[in-house]
Amino acid sequence: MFNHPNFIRRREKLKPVEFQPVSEVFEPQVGVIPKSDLSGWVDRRRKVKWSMSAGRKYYLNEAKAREFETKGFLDIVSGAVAPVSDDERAEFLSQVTRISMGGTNG
Amino acid sequence: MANGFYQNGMKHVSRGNFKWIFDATPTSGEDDAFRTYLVDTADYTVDLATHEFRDAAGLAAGIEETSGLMTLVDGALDGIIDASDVVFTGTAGDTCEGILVAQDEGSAAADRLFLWWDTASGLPVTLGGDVTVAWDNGANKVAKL
Repeated sequence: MFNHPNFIRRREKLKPVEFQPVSEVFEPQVGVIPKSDLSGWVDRRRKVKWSMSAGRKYYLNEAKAREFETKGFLDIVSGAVAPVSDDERAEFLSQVTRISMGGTNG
Repeated sequence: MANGFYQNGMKHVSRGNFKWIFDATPTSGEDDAFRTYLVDTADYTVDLATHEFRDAAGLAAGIEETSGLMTLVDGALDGIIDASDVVFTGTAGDTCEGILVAQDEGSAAADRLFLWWDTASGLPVTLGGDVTVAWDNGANKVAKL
């Protein structure tokens, strides 16, 4: 006769895994090709900038791609973005200043 | 002042120290790497005759915005040079009255000043949004050497 040790068997009660909507984990990306050389600040205090060269393909967050497309900075070449309302368009375009160098060079 | 070439920049052209030619992957330090800068002339007084490098007096303080490396279009007939327009997004800082193009060697003491504008439609520019520098689409493009 053999007596098994009387272990107290405790098992953690399993908790259900929580799933987040994909859109809250990964921002949807769309493919873009800039029409101009674009740059902007990642962290102005630390003087860190991002830049994108005209004519090359990049992937951007949908929201930023949508804004930049409306401003005429780039073309969206893959993926889809939400439509831009007239109010949004006006707001985006109000942020853009254009310096035209026409014929005043050198 | 007026728009124009830095005389030392033209010296560097003639000595072959830099060239205006398309490069699909421009890299700082190469002779075809150029950047565009928005400059506050309250801090920097341009001197096209003598200033040579980006460490010229007042220029460090005067530069409010710096572009990425420019996408150049090969120099063409009659010395015409062109490039893609340059967009600075999310700008902030002092009002800028000047635009500068300089070759990027990787440090202020070595970056060669090339082109200067303080007369253009849209200058001076108040920073605070996105600023597009749209090069001429007519005969002269960025400049005629």
